[in-house]
Amino acid sequence: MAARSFLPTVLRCLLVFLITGALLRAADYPSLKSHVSSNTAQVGEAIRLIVEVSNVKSASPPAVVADGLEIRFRGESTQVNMTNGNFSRKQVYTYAVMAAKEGSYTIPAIEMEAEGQKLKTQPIAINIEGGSMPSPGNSDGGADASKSFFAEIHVDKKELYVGETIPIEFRLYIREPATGRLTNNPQLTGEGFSVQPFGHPSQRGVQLEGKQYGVAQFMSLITATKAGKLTLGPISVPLLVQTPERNSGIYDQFFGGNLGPAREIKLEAPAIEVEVKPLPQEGRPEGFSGAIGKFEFEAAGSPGKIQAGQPVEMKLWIRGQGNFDRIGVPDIQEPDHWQVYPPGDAFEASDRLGYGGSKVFTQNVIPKVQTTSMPSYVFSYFDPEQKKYATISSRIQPLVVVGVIAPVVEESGPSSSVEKQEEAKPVAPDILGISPLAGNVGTFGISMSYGKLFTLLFLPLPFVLAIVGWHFRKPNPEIARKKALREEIGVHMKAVRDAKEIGSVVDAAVHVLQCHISLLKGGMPSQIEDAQIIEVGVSKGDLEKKLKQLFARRSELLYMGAGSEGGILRTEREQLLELMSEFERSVSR
Amino acid sequence: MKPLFHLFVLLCMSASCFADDFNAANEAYAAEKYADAKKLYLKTLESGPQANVFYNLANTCFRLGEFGPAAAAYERALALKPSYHEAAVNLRFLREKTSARVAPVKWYQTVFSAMPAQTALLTGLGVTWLGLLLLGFSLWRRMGWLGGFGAVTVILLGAVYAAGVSWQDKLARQGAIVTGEKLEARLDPSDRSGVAETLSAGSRVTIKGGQGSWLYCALPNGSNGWVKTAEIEQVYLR
Repeated sequence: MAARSFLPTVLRCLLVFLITGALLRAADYPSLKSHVSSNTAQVGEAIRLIVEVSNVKSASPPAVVADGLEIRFRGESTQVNMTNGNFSRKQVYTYAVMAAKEGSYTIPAIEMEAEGQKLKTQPIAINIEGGSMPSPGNSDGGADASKSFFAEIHVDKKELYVGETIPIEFRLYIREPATGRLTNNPQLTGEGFSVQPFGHPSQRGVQLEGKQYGVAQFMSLITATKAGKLTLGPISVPLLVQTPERNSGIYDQFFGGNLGPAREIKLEAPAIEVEVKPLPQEGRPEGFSGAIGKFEFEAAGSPGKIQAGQPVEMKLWIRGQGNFDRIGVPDIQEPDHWQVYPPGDAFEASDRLGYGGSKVFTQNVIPKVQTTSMPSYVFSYFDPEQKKYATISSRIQPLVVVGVIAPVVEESGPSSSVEKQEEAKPVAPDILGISPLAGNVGTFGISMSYGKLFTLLFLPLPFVLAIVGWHFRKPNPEIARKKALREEIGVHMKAVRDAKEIGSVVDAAVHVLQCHISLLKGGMPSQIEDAQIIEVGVSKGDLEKKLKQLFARRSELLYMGAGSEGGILRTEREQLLELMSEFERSVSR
Repeated sequence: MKPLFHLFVLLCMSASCFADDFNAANEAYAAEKYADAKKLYLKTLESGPQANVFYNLANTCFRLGEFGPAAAAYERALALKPSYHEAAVNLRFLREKTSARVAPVKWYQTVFSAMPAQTALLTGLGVTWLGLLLLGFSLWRRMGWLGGFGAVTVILLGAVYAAGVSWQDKLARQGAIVTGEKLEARLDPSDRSGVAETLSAGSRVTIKGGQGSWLYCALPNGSNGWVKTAEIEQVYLR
């Protein structure tokens, strides 16, 4: 039973093994395949042709040639796959196929020999449609968004005045992701205008009819030089372009890869017409120097105070947009009153072209007549927007001229007015005139002798030294002591007169007596004994008695703490004051 | 009483003569009789130095083409009246015209010569006195070190200014102007000596000493040289 069931199983496995081996062997056979990325394309657009050679140990890219088509080898890659433990190898060759003309083309069968076998692909038909790519030698331009490349000339306004300067742009549009590179900068030539060379372009992106374009802008300035119809352009430029291959993968497009080969085309921006008018004669200011545009004018001078004969530096600013190269120094008003020197100028552009900016003139002027203000300037220009002339006068600034303005010596002699006009150069300044007043008699330098000088210089010195000496003198201690005692007597006498408590009155009176004794005999008042005070009153009538009563009263007040009525106080105060006077008299004797 | 009256009359006559000469000189100048004007201005100056008369005399010399004497007269007008703007302007103009050279003036020289020397000196003395009085007052009133410091500062300012003015006056007294059209200052007091500096009319030198008919001077270029006495004129007149 077991033997019977084992046999069919072995047979079955063997069968599977044989079938699998046969399949694997079939997969190892060399093969050649080809396909294109798209069967349709526009003129100038590249189609990718991919040729795959499988299971060939070594191979080289086959040659692919077709009538009417340009086929260029672009590269190769190798792919290795593992299937059920077996490895297979594939060689991939890539070609770019382009057609210069529209029509139907066939990529013929590609043949090659490998591993002793002859391999062959199937022919591939492709269709090339008429596109925007111009043929070399032909021009194709205009602002047409349906095209991959086009160029245009752009000006902001189509109506100009003779002498007016405006910006002009040459715009080159390239539909993304194609790329283009100009081998030469665009050039605009023609009659009736002057133009500066186009500089480096700026780049930006725009969307036209839903398609993304990269725009290279070449800018310059153009100035109309004569009236009439003016044709600007056309401008023809050679452009090296690279376009993407049709149906390249999203990955390639994202990274801008798989562009076709670079090729040169000639691109032309169509001409445009502008109307150039002559400047109106009506209202033309006298000082109009040809400035056309929109301007602001300002003038300022420094310094505000000068000596006669010294110059004032005037700065004249003209700001705005217009033909700055034709702006001359503004006219000074009252030119006879000023000696004017040739100005210097500087221009600071506010844009790349120099269409907008600020031009500053620096001019030195010297007043020829007595004046209290700086010169005023007048700047005239033509405003093309308003279609009329404008005149701006500068603000008048005050000026202080110190001294007398020198009279100007005019050259005399016969000369025609024309000659005078030609010789209207600054007249050389002369010396200032004489004084009509004689003035006072003076002296040269210092008429004083040095002895007198030093005497005068140090005259107050003794006085100051006396003050200093007084200030720094050494004080006498005895005098100071007596002074202090006298001050103390004064203070306590006040207490005797004013104190409300009888105790305080008596204490003050005793202290006054002590101070008197101290003045007389020396020593501190607090160390004077009662006996020393009483001694003064001996043999002086009842003074001794009164003094003893005073001390007794003090003891009474001290030990008994007894007070007194106001009336009694008043009486005692009067008695005490009398005692003080009597004691002082006795002491002073 | 009578002698006083005579003196008064004499003074009036003198003043009247002086005014007559000056006015006549101005009229001669206006009439472009510059030689006459010069004589009359010089006569006017006999009564004493006056800034305006020196100024007018300088203008007259300028018109006569005597640029050296003109410069000397302008300098004298400025010495008498340093704030004489017209004189300063004309002198600068003259020196530009003749390419005369002057040693650069230091800022402190400008400060010390801003006023007439006598006035400046008295101002300095006055400030010094003021400072001394301030010092005494501050000591008397016991104003402390701040009062003393302020007073001493005022004293120093006044004294330094007075000293500076005196020094500047001494320098000014040594100042002299080249009166000839061209002067060659020599390295030694000899005509055959090398030239230290060539000076044109109106240039200013400072006399430092002398030897015979030669004067040893500080020159505008900072060096020293010898010039002949007759070729220069001192600014200060004795």
